[in-house]
Amino acid sequence: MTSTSLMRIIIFILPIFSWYITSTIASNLNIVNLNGLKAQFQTAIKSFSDVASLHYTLGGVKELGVQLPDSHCNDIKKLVDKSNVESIYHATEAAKTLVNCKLPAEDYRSTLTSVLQSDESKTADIYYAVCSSVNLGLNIDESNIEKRLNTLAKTDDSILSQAYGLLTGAQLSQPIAKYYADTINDLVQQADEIDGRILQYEGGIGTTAFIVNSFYEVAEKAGVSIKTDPKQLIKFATYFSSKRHVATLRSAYYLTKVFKHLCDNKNPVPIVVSRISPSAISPQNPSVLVSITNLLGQPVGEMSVVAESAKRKEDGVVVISKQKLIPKASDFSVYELPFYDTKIPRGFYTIHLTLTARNEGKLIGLTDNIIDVKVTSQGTIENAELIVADRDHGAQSKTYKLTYPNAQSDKLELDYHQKLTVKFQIKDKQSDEFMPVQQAFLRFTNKQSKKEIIYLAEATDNGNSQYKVEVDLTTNANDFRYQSDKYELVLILGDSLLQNAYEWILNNNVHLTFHEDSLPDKDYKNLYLPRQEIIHQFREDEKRPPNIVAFVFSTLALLPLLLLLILWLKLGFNLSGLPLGLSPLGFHISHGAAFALMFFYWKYLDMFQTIRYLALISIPLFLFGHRVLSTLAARREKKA
Amino acid sequence: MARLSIICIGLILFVTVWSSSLNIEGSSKRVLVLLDNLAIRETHSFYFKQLRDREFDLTYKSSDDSNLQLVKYGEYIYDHIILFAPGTKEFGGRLDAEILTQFVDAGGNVLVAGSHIIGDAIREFAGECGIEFADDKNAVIDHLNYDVNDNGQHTLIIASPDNLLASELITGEAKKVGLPFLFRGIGMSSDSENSLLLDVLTGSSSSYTANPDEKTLTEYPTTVGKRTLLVSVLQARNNARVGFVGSLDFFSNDFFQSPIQSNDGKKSAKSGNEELAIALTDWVFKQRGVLRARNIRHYLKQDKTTPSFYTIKNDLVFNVQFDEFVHGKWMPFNGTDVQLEFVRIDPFVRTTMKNNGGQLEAQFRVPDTYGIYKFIIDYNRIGYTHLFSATQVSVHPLRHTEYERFITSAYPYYISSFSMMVGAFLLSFIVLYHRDEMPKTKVE
Repeated sequence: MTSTSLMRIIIFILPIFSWYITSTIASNLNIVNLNGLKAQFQTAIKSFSDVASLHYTLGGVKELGVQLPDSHCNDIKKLVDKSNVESIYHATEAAKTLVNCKLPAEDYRSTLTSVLQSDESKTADIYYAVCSSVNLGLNIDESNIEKRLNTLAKTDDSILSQAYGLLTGAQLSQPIAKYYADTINDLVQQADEIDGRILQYEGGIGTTAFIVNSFYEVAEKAGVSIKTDPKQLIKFATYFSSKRHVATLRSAYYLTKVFKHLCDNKNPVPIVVSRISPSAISPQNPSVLVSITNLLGQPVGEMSVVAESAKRKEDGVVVISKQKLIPKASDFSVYELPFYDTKIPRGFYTIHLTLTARNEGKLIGLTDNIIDVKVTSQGTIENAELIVADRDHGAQSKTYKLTYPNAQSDKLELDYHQKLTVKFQIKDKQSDEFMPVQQAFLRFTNKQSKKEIIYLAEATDNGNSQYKVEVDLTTNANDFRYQSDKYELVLILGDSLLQNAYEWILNNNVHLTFHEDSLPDKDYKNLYLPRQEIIHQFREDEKRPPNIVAFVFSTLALLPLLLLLILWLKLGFNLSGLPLGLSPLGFHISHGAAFALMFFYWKYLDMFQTIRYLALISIPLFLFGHRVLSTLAARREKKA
Repeated sequence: MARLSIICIGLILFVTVWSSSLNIEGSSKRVLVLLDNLAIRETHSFYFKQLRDREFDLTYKSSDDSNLQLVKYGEYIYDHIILFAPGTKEFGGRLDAEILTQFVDAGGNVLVAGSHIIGDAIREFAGECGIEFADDKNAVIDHLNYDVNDNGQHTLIIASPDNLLASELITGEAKKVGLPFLFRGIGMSSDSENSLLLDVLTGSSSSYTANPDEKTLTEYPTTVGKRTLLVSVLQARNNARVGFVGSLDFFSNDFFQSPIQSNDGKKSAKSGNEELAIALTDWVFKQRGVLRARNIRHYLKQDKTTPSFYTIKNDLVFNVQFDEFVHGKWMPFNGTDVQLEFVRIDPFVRTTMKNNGGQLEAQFRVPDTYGIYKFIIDYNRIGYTHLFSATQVSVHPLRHTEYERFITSAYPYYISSFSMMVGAFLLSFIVLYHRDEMPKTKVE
């Protein structure tokens, strides 16, 4: 097995999750999620918005061993801001990562000199200016800078500022770097300790990685090793390795750099001890495989690995002591501990490993490594039976024998007089003992509504762990909400120490009949559905006779008038009594108008309008009528 | 009348001022993030970064910060709260379950994440919302669906997207994409009487919530089977939203990025956690599914005028504009199942409105029963805020002039009366002017 493919396997198998797993594995480090970092840089390469991210990406990718083409040089030149010292710093650092990318030094000289001479500059600015000058090959006045740093150190004693001081020191001559390297331990003391196993600085992963990186830079320049307690280095390493994903490119860049330093053989190298086999130990997987590498997953040479002890978690029983692990790979990155044998009972175990390096290097974190494993056993379901009994007459019962994994083929009918009992045992295949399980559920699933009703099987206490579950269809009817229907009957058995859990369909077609009407399931989903539309029913119109009736009766109603006219014509009439003058004309016009008004009243007007018009018409009608009648009366009197 | 309208305006102003501390839609994005420890900020940085990209204004506070407060000078200083502090027994400062409940009553939204330990304050708040978390040290266990990276106790379970609520507003694309979810945490059960709760994600039929360290179950587990709630949400009657997720790790960088391999070998390159977590947060913090109604208009179909009252059997048209708040913008709503009711104590008409680019329209004939009616839109759908709008109108009976005239069956009556009039008119001539001078001529 090549080391790269092995590494890939290790990285794949071992994403260790969050804080509460790491809190159980007290001191172990994890292998770095290099792929994650690489992916992060590679997404960033696609587009750059500023020169800082360009710097971090190019730098990070280079640290990971990928050389990028010089075409990025144009990006640098395009994005750099000549008047901003920080931008110049990022540009020169980015240019440094490329093979052939020269920036014109003269363009930046004035900005850099003014920053170095200004009293306003902070430590960070000084560092940017010094680093840029060094990168561009410009001369710097070291003594002046040192003085400036010393004055600044008095006004600003923040850790970040001190870290910039260290980084500046790393750019200057060796004696100055040495002076700064001696202050590393003071800075380490200022880190915050969490739970006694993590060291970090305020500001999180980016800041911590940046500061720790500055330790290594200055120590390297000074040519000394970092003088600090290895335990504290381990604590930093624990913090870094627990950050499997970081949000910003800056953090990713400094994290990559720190990991490189932590794996550099010139420095103390923390060892990562991790289990690469699954946590469950079973006949198929009888031994524990332990990988021993540095943080980047690279082998660190031959060493002897001893399992000091393996303790059962629940009662502290020691099952293994002082057993040597067998190297499995030629590069001594994987060791094997045969663990499974019948004498080790099921349970969770903690293995303490102690490492002794063959060639005395600068490896740290060799003791107190812990691996967690569990020994599982294969179970078999035995003596499974399904009993249908009468509630009142216990004797009248039918017993069906069941064998895993077969389901009963016949349909099972149960009614409220009956009760259903399921009994079974679980046997450990190897030790032949009956074993208890945590999950022993009997599940009814309504085949229509998919509603589940679950009963717990309880173990009897007489040592052979016989499980029994009893469902009385009268007393438990409310669980089913009296829904007489088809159900599926499933037995679920599971335990963390059981190699495989069981989901055994006992019978796919159980008809349950209850003695009461079924209650509907409570489902609030229908509150959210559109309601049925309502179309208003208007009152029906009264029934009317057909039009022909109206027509016939209309004609009948007209007949008297016709009859009158015909008879008049026949009998003859005259108007010889008509007096001449205006008044008869006026009388008849207004008389006709009154009747015509009636027509208009019917057709167009309302009552008030009609009364108004009638009042108008009635005046001439009265006056003319009076005149006509009086004329006629006078004429009659004359005759008489 | 003028005085009444002044009082009305005053009331409206009072209501708007009083509720202005919290907005109903999600345009204000001040979020208080309460954490057990500030390291969660880093382990969950992808999640928080996504929120910042969505322009949420995040304020991180340690949950035991003694200066915690939600109200300053009588106004709420946050619109939303993220409670990533399951381990906190009691909050620092002026914050407890009661104040959180008041915050929700005022329209604030809360997202709560649990873990194997849950503090009393959060338990109490969850209880107010009808959610009961299992006891401390319990975890959701699934011996049939767990991830290979599980620590042996089968508590790192894989939740199937089949058990996810089918509502794109709440769960986003998570259901469509179909990636399984990683979950490690505690199970919840919901109050069955609470109709405002929605089960977003449940465990599989073989999951249950129990203490993984116990050898055998001594009592019935808090939740079993599909009743094991992993994620649930509440939309209160004031449309405030509360989300409960049983697992704090659900939102972590590791779970967002982790590939999944189940115990039976099914693999998936990525978990669906990120999709669901972001969609859920968007929903809880009112970036999705917020509706408003405006420009309500009703008029006669005939001449498009709005009368001061309607008369029975009028044909009328009702118009309303619906908008949906989508990621900071009001967009036309395009649902086609909005119903309009015309209600006088009982609904007389219920009709589905036609949607024309957010402009909803219904046409119907006023019932032949007069009285005081209301146009009611009561739109309550999963994922949307509850929109209720009522507009009152009165419906009059016919006036005396409005009854039907010229009824065909009545023509005999009309004609007989008019023929009588004609007869009377003609008769008046005969009666007045006819002279019988004939006897002489007849004799002759």
